[in-house]
Amino acid sequence: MGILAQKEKLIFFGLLGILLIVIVPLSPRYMQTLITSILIVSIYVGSANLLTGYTGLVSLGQAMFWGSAAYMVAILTSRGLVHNFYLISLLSLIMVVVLSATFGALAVRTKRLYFMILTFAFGHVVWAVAMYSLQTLTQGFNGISDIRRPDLGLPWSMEGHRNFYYLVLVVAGLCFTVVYLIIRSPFGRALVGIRDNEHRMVALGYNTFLYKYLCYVLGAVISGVGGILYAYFNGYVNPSELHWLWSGDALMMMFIGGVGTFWGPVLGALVYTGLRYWVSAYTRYWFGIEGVIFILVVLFFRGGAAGFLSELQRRLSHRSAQG
Amino acid sequence: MLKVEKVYKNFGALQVLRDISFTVELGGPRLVIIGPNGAGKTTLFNIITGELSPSGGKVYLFSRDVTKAPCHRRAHLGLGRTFQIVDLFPDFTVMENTLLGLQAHEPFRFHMIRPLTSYTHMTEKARTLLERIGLWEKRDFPINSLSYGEMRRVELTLGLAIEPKILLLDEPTAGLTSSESLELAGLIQTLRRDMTLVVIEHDMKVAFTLAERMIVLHHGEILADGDPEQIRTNPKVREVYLGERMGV
Repeated sequence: MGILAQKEKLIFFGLLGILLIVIVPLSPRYMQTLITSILIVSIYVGSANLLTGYTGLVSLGQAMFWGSAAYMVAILTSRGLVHNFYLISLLSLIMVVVLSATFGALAVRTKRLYFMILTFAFGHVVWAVAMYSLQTLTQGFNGISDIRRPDLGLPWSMEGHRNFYYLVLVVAGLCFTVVYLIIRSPFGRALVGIRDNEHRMVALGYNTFLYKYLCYVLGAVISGVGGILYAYFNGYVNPSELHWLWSGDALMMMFIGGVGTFWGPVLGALVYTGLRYWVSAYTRYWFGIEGVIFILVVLFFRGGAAGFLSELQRRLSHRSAQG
Repeated sequence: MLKVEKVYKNFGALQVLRDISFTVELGGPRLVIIGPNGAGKTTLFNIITGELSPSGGKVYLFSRDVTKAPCHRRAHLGLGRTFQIVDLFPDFTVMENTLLGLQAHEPFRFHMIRPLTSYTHMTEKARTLLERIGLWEKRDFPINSLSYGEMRRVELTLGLAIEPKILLLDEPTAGLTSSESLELAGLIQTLRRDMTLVVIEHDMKVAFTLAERMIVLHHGEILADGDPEQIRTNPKVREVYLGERMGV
């Protein structure tokens, strides 16, 4: 949607702001919950988009960071080890950095299919460890429940849906601001250059490994932020948060929303989570419908929802210019 | 300076380069490497830049042994290159391509906050460079929409953007009509002299226009090394290029 004029942009962001800040909190509780989960998921898809959409690294292991951050929150709170929300978040993110810095050092050396397979393998190892080896800590298949909403040390309690929604909105806004700044910065332009032509980037003198490595760790941290919020939101964490299917879902949502576009992750999370919510009320065959949607997007809407919308906008403005 | 010392390259049983040694001085004469197809010219470039490692021998850059150094480090030492087949960022505009080249060695290349377009001294630099190459009017065109001749010029722009001390041009005029080729050769001749050019050229007219020194490669060996007049009259070279008119 980079073709919106300045005035249209102001109107768009104004309306979006009113919708998110005023209307959503006044809407019914199920709606607030749905939007909260869409926002959390869009942070997660945003991290995958930074890695895959902008840098061209297709990872099948993004769930590993989302899940391990969520587990860290679950373990620390359920055992009563640490109570401070900020400390818990910091510890969770440190773990994500350590994990991603270790796996990244190996995975980022490989390319394309090999990168995908390695990230898949690492993710699956982490899943298996949580599921079996660390059962005493993670309670295996059963997962960890009764995660209480965090105490931010602010006058507002997070127990209420509305306040928690605002917390998620602020954090999601921060995450998307970070992504927005990165993709326009010298660092981000280099990432896109690597996606489009790594060979030339190397010849120009870019240390492409370092760029991809930093992007991998950054993506992991953003993914971890989503995982932390999710653990508090859901109150329950189980191994499916670490499973490669959830990594695949990130790619799926990215495709539906628009790969390598700024709004793609939000739109993808919105369409995917929203549809899933409505469809599940009528049928148990969500996975089949998801497959059909994915096929339709790949065949007819390569740019995903973001591409579709900007095309629509282009045609409308073209028509109004003619009329 | 660049020094290639006793370089060998084998691909399996096939010997592509044999005992190649030569030195290129900073600010020295413009070197043109010629040779029939399959003589090993591009392989030699790839060994100098680090895309390939030699089977034997050494490469020195500014008296440092870089035989094992990765490409990007050699580029940082001051070695630039262009490619025989245009190798650009096809969805980026001419301006974005240029900026990506210009920032490659800037200390802020890892910065994540300010947008690249807000570094105004970079856009100024890009303007100077693009005006020189004759692409300033096309700055907002994506590469995909350019003519082939213009893409060739962007290729050269990217080579120049990192401000190398030695620039390797791999057939800068490949695929151009002969008038376009000579025009581009004219532009290359006007490049600043403190940057040493090493050019692979197939077109004899262009080769002799640019050359101040020539190396002839044949079957992976240096057949002759000398000034253009020596090369033109060298009987061995004439034999290899039998039937071709040497640099008329």
